[in-house]
Amino acid sequence: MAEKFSSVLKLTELDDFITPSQECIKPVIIDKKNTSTQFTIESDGSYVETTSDGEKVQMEKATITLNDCLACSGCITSAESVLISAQSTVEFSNVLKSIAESKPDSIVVVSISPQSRASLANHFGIDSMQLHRKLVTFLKSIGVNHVFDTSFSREFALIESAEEFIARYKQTYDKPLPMLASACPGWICYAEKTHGDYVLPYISTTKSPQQIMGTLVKYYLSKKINTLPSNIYHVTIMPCYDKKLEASRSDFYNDVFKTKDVDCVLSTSEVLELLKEHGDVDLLKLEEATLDNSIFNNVIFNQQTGQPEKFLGVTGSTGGYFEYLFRRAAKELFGKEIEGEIEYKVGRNTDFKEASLEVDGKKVLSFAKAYGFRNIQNIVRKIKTTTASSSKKEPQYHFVEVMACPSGCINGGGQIKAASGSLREQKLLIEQSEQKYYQDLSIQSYEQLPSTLEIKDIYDQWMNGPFSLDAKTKLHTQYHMIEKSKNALSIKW
Amino acid sequence: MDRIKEISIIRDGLPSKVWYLAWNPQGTLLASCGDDKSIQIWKQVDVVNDVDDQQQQQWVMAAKLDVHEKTVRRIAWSPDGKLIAAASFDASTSIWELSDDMNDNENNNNDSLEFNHISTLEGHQYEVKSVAWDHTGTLLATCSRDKSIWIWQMDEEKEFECLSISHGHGQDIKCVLWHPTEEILASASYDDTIKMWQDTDGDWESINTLVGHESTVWDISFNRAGDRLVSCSDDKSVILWALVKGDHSDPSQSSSSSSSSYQWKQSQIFESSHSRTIYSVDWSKDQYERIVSTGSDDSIVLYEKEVESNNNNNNNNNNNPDTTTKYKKSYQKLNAHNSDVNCIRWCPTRAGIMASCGDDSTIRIWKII
Repeated sequence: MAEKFSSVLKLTELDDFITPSQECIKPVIIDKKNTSTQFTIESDGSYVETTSDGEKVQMEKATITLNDCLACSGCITSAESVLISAQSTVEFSNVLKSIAESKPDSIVVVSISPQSRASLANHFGIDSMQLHRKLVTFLKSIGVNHVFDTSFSREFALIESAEEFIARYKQTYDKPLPMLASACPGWICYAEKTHGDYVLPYISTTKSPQQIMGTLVKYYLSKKINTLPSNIYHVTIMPCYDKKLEASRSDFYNDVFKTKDVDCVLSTSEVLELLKEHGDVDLLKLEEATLDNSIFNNVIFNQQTGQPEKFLGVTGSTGGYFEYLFRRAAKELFGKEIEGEIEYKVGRNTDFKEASLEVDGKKVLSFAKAYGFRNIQNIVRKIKTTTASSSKKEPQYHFVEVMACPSGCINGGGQIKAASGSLREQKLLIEQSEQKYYQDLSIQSYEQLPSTLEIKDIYDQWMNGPFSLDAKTKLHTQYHMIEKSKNALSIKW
Repeated sequence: MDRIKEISIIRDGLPSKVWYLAWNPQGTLLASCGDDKSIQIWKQVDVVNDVDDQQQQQWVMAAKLDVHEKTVRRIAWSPDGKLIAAASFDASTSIWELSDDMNDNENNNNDSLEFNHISTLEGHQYEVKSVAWDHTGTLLATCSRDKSIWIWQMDEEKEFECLSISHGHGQDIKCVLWHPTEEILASASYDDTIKMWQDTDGDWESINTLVGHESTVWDISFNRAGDRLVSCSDDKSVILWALVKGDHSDPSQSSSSSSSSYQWKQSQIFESSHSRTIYSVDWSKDQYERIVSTGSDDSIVLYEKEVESNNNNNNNNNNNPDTTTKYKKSYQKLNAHNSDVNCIRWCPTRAGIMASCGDDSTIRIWKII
């Protein structure tokens, strides 16, 4: 089970209770009323407490919630078992059932990430558009009202990130450089728990595409379709289990409406389980649905047939932050157009790449992609050394696309894995999914964003434009340093 | 006949439990660590005994390095003897450089040495258990209770970059050790196995797993050619392993890796070599190639080559572990320390000299006679 998570979250294993490996050290708070009690274990395995006056009370099972895990520095996350039980296909199916039975006003929305679509299309051996349409058919058959593509919300994430970067560069936004990408929840979790004191100011405040979709669905769409945010049940399908943790953050919970921006996150591979649980559905045999072109879609329709033809997207199967920010910053800060492909310099391993822009012989923009845990280490190390030295040194990089998984999101922990698990087969699978990512895709250049009128309208009418005060409230978030608990280390040598 | 004679002892200035010691490559300094968070550096001074006019060894503290928040578990000198790496339970590894400032270290009258703390390597989630430099002095490996092995590369400015974070052991990793001539790393674990690691396309992957011990493997040591390995364990045994090159794919052998052309095979086992846990083992790199082990039974055991049999070392077929030189347990020094002995190491420059340390708060220097 542990191998489903990104490598950052894999330092400890789930099914390991033997010392000296990591045990959960989170103290479970139990309301203690009696001091002199006896415990007995009944024949059914339940624990019964006998109070001093002979009364028998069944003891409550001590449980640790996702929020406990997020707030605890005991481990990066041993919450993984908790994580899966809290957000699962079973939970999703139960919600669908209860809505069908007793909540006719509820709206169910599913947002699919393009990386999940690529992995599924590769798994079923069909085109990306076909896969999407068949999946829509399936989801609607089990009670889902709307199916969206997170490429839609990703455009907001890209635009906000670029605006934020330019503002940081011009020092009009009170945050330092380098700016570190914020879309990867594994990385965020790691940064908050282990390097909180000095690394958090560098992390982009822009929400991830998943969480922007959450905001749009709960607070824009709800108004548009005249319902309450809490009446919408929002599920995302993501290449990554760590996204479940992200959705559980208290920053993404609304106290007034008592609702989360994203209610449930399913990984790509859990979609296969969902198909199985709903009568072993053969996805290939399903009809290709007609897509709804009125809301939240990034799809080009054929003008004659009215059928969906291509998705609108960007270069980069990890979200395209590097490329979009690099080109826009070059243009807006220095009036330079990056012609053709970006020339990457590959570092010590293929998961570290960099590119730079020189103006009059001076390096004015220096960008890097740092994927995987070891490259994260080196970035964090560089920032720490720069921060520690009192001299005001120019940062080595201005922007780093940090991702916890080697090869980025296309190789996310939640993607469908190679059958044999061999390294070679896994690498081949990544390549194939990468190809599927670009299939049926109309790649939008940086100048073409926002790619649809709808995105522009939402920006203009709902937020007063990109990186406005309104946009900062709606599309940005904050990070929290988690204090290291002092008793976390029980020494065993 | 007493084969192992104590020639010197260090008592003052040591932690109450001394966990580890390391000779510098020149054999002139000893670094030690224990349960007091510091690293102690000892320098040998020769004094002439007034009574019998014999030269005697004395060790004086030349430096005490203090930066860690928790215990230092193991230390390692770089091959040139200029750097020290220290693995600590505070989850970090510190790097120290011996100052080559003449005023600091050469022309002074006293015996103190100056070390500068030049770097701290962070990243392990829990206690760092061991640290090792490769033979070139540019790669550094660390291992931890978090079950991961980290490989760092040091550049010319002595800046460190993480090359790889590897997983494979199912439990706490007790020690890491580099092959004497090749870029192969060995690790020993609480999961009872030893693993060999190698760079494969930028990732350090486990290429062999040596299965044979029945409990925690505490320490390992290569012979000087790097084609044999000795290990010691909580199971009270010492195992000798031999490298078999080529396609000797024997399904019965202990290695689990089939793709590798390097296979390690158990060639000899000394069962119940000590009466309690064996914590430390070392293979001397001199012409005698002796092995020594020690542990919680307070004793030191010496292993030496059997007298050359019909299979001598010039035999062309000496890749086969069955024809490698057999060792015999030749001597046991009982009550070498007054308590558990945690570490024993041969002096790299003087054959037959070794140092041990233990829970009795002493370091003892021994000579084979």
